[in-house]
Amino acid sequence: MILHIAKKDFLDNFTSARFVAGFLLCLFLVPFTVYTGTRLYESRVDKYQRDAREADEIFTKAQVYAQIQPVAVIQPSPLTIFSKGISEQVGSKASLSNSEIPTFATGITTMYENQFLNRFVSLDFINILAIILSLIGVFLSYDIFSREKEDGTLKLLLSNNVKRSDFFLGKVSGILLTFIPLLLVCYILVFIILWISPSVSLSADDYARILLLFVFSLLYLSFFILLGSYISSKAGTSSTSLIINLFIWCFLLFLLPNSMSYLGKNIVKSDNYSIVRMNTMDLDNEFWKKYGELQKQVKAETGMVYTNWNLCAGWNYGPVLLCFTTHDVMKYERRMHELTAPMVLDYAGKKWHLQEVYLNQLFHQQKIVKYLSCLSPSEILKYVSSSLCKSDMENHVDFMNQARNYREQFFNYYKENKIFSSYNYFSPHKESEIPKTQEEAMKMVAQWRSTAKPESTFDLSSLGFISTAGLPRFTYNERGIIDGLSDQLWIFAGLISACVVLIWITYSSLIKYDIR
Amino acid sequence: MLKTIIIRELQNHLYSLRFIFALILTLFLFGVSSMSFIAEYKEQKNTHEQGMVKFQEYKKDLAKNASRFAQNRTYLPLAPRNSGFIASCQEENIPNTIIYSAFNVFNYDISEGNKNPFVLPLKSVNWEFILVLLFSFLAIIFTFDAVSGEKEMRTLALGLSNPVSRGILCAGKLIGTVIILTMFVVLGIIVSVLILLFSGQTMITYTTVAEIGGFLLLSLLLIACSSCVGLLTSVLSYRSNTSLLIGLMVWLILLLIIPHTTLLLSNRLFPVESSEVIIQNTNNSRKTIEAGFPEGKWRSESNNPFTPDHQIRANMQMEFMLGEKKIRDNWYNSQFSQYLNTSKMTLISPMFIFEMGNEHMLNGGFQRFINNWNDLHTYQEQFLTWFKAFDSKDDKSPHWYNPYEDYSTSKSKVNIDEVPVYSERIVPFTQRLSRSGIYIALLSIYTAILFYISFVLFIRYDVR
Repeated sequence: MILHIAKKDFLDNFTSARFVAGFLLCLFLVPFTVYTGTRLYESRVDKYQRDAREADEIFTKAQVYAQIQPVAVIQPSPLTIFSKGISEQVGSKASLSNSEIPTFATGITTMYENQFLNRFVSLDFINILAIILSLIGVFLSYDIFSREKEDGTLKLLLSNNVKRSDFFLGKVSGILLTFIPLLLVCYILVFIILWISPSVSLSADDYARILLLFVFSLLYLSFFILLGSYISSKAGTSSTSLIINLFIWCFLLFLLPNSMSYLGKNIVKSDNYSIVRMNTMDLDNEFWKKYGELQKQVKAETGMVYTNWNLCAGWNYGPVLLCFTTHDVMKYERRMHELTAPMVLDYAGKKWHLQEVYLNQLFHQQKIVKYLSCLSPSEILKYVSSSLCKSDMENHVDFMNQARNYREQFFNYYKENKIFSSYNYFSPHKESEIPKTQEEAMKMVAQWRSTAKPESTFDLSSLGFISTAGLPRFTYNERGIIDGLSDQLWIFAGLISACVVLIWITYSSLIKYDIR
Repeated sequence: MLKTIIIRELQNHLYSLRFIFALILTLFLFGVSSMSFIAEYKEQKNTHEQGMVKFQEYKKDLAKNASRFAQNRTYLPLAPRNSGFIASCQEENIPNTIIYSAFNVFNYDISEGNKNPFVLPLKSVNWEFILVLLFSFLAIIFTFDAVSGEKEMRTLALGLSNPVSRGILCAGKLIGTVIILTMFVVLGIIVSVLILLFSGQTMITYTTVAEIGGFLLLSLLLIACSSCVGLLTSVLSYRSNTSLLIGLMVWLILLLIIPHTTLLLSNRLFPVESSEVIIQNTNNSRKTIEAGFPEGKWRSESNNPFTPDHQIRANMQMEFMLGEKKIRDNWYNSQFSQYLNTSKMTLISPMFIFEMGNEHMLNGGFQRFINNWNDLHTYQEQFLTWFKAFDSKDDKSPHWYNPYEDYSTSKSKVNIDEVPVYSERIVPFTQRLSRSGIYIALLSIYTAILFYISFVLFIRYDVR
């Protein structure tokens, strides 16, 4: 009987104007959005490849150890075409310098380079599904029982040997069945676009995530269908049911998430980042004072008066690449690096304490905003989708944590291997090759210029590169599906519970219905 | 007759379920918007003031060396706007900080400020948001059955069999809805203003009252325009549910799909160079400029400003800056054009016309940014003139202007009070209102066209 009712409702809905209108809108919007999303993903991949190459060249083209300030880069996931989450708001690479532990990632932080375009609405595949499908869901379910009551067919039906539970399940399944081909068409359209674009390749893990996304989209739709059914079972007329349904739809989709998010952000305060930066600048000033004292101390220790650098490129708390310079100056610079490098790392740690407090405030604020806005099912869909599509906060935080751990590991390697106190930290010369006098140094410069013929003043490429084979390198370990879903377990459970409650109260309402 | 129809419509709405829902939502949203604005504005104002104090301390420190003072890249964050409760004009999402020195206005950026990059992007709830989302929706909900409902119940045929002009009937239904929704807006505004006044955080000045008046005028037009959309779909359909479905689809298209589509098309129709190309062009320009300067261009002697190489170095650095400025200014102008062209395309949507009208009327968003951007260029010239005058008085300076280094200009101490100060220009309300006039006119034309189409279709309706 359930099947029979479901089949009849499926056929009725499938040919209805409301379904066709929604279907056509999806047919226009989904390919258009996904195609543009794919193009944007391609440009992100291009940028990622450039960033990854540059990050690699930091190691392969290093002439001294001081030049190596690693950069951790994360590859964009093709799943961001489905749900972009916060991927457009956070960067894709972390600069791991000795002087600062990164608070935020850098790199691409907006979808478009023109920041003024942030003013416009930007939707992704999941946004489109959330809005259009829920609206169709409301339109298909608002009169599921009320229409039958109005037409008098409910009395006829229930006076036959039909269980009310069968009738209820049949009706709801009929609408859900109507959505399966619609959802399938939407997803197939996405796959076709993804398959024809050369830069997108999906792994088995990605397919599993998309399958879960499909299942979750159905669960999201079920909520609106069940809500519509409940209101329909309670409302006197279909028009009343439709008005109530639409108000709730508009409230849940647009008004509630924005209000709760805005309210949440203003209830749970976070410091202003500009103030945090100013406080870290105070620590920088403290550092520079100590640095000045250290300079005086080392000058007194080495008898240095005037540091004459004959050829130098770059500066990072001392010369980065210093060559053809006299032994006394080199000795002074080596000692300065030996003493300042640990101090730089120490101050980066001190600044990190302030940054960490600020970051924790942001995480806390995000959690409150998330739970408040998840009173809306569309936000639940967005959060779960961004988690499945690796574009949520947890994935980003995981990347940043791995990058920070790697930074610590990298500079610990420098400390353990006494690289900071070696000449090779800032000079390509071995100690034995360093000139003793200024005349000798100038001769070496002239000789190098005549043989190497540098293209410009700062072209030192002929000096050769150091071997960085033993240095630790960054590799990002992606989070698994289970880790991602476990973060969203509560809101996921919340939506399922809401669906169960709706089933129960709709069924109760239907049972209480007196056909007389 | 018109009066009778309007009163009848008002009574109809007054006893309807949608009236109660609309009232609850209006009060809830206006309440949320004011309370959140109070908290947000207080926070932003405190932060801005703290930042200014720190900035003054930093400036005093820099003033020990005139060249460093002039060359320092200063970040100018735009102060929080006290009319933000009416419309934020997306100021939190578009560039709101300009970077300049005495030699150049370099760049602009989005200040991280109070933004949380880990929160999914959502809009601030302010009066504009409520009008754009809720009231455009309510206008359709209140009008979808204005004609189609009467067609279904067959009361339209009865009504038209009396000596009632169809134009008056159509106008009466529209005016009835506009009156009731405008009353909601006025009620919401009163609640909101009372909360703001009791909080003591926002000053309600004469300008604010004028701005609220301007907002009400724009709101009235948006409500009328959205009601016309509902009326048109109602005239077109024979069943209320069909007209509601079409009305909501049109609403979604106007509200979300048009801005989303124009955004997607913007890069294709109005392409702008990528930042990588700009960096590449800048590097190439630097290389070409550097190659044209003789040996010694990078030589310096910190103890002797008059070293002849300092002049070569200063000229080269100046050319570097001017070369980069030319490339970057062209790029920025193309970005401004891209934004303006995309905005023009989006004007198909009445909601966006409403937003643009508010932006001009409140001098917020892009309008505020571009005013500051242009004014800062004028200020930068004044700042440079002051620096040159200061430098010319110093005998220890060779007066070779270098925008990045202090080798060849004055290192004397500056009296910070003598330096010209930049302050944001206040645009008079009348000027702002006249700028938003085009959007008021556009919304009026839009409404008139939609009403005219509805009227023509209604005339053609055959009661038999």
